[in-house]
Amino acid sequence: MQEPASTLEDTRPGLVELAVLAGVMLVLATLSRFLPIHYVFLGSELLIAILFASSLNLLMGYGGMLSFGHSAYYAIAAYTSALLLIRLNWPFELAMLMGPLMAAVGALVFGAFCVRAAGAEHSAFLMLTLAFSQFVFAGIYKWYEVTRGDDGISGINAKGVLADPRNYFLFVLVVVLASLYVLWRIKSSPFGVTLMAIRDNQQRAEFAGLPVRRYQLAAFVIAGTFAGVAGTLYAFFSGTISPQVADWTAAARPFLANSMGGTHSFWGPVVGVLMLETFDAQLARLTQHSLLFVGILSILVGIYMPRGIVGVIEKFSTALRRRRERP
Amino acid sequence: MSPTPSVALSARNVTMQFGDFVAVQSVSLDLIAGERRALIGPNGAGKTTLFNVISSRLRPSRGEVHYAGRNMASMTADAICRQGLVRTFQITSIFPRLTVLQNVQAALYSRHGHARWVWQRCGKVDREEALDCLATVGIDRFADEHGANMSYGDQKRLELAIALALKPKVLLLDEPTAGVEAQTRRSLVELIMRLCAEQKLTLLFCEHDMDAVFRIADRITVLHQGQVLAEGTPEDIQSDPRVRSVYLGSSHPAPIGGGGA
Repeated sequence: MQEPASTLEDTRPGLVELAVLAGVMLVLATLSRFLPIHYVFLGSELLIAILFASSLNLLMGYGGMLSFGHSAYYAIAAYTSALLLIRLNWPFELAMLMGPLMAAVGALVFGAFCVRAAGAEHSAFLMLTLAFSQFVFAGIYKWYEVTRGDDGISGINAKGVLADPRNYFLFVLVVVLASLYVLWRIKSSPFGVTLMAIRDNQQRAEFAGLPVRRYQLAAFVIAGTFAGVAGTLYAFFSGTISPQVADWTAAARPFLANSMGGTHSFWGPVVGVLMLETFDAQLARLTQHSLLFVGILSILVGIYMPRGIVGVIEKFSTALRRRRERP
Repeated sequence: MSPTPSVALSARNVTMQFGDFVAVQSVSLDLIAGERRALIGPNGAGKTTLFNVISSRLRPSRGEVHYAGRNMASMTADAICRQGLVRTFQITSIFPRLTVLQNVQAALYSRHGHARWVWQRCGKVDREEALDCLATVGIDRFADEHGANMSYGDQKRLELAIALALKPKVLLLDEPTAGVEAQTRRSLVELIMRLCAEQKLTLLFCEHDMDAVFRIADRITVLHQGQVLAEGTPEDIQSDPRVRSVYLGSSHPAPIGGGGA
């Protein structure tokens, strides 16, 4: 038997989901007013990581395109916002808007190459995305006059109300949840089903009249744009950015979060990020080599839970439901 | 019969060469609108290769295929499908992780241009039409199952439903009854005949099962070693000594096939 349907494939976002979303938003917003400030920082960081991983999920889970260079679009957005703000003294609102836009342009250009050259070849696609992200990394690292290379850029701060970290958290909360909602709608639309059809059987999709590459590129650009939203949010959250945001280890994090959580599900990357970050933070207290253990954990998950943690949860809940139906 | 039969699809001197090996050699074939043509021949005769050239999965080494008044060399596979030339595959080709309904919906999204819609809910778009397609081939009761969970025979039906959703003018079926047992095969043959009649399709199909060939086809082309050995009505083909010798060896007395068309 084939594994049960992915949770999203039969989900139809409606009033209930919107109400839950509003509830979550309200609870988190209220909490952020009282909790110690370092929890508020942690909250912003997690939300940004969740959006980053969820944007990659559109490619990995729905499009079946394994990208190992998603950090490129995160970094393009972060640096675009930072440079416009610091170097050209643009108002921060405009600098914020331009980040994701440039990420979209970058994804369109690089994505066109990746999709055209690699097609259905997973490994070729993966290597090309990695190559382009290294290209972005090298550009930031070497172009010292503009990017200050390894020194990074600091002083990336929002003005006015958003200068306060608690308010900035609320801003991140609203932007991330709104973005997740948009991604959700996209994934459960006819476009989303078309992407999954292409993932399942590219040849059949082509012989069903679909210009496959064009749809793959569209998914690549959407994913890159939302990675860009995450990147810009991060730049203003952290205040300082360095070429590390474009590093391949930066691309590995959302990739790992997806595989751990379960690429087939909308909630996979959310669960994956929460787990990965918790694990990483706890381990970092005990050892300097926390990444090594994260690696071991992800290998174990890969072997024993090929559909990630969400896959295991689904299995249990289906088994429970069956039991209840047949006492 | 219409007084001037129009050609729906025409292959002109098609040659397909893989390195030194010539799989199809200078084959010409005209499909008359509304006819049901079988393409038969022993294994390795070049049926599937010719099929792949006609559906533009392969570009011919020499020769041309014309469909809807255009040379197909200038068209991509997806564009040809949108013009109404639709094919199925020898090994069933569906979207295994989508539900049966979504399999057909994906084809409908493609034909209606709904695949670009990013905000509507997939479940509602083209749902009724998809259910109709499933009912036509008799698998609407599996609508919410996964394609991969159905029996092979039902997957073949699903593949037909996907093809129907694309509103074909010319339908190419590559071994539509391969790999299923006798009873399922008979019901698939019935289904194909009913579809051809109801939807006024022009059909070209490859098939090894001679019962199926003689029941469905009103014209047969026999390929042998990449060339057309014979072409004609089922009666002509059945009595053609060259065809017999290719299939059975010349000394064999039994006729090929089960019965008349």
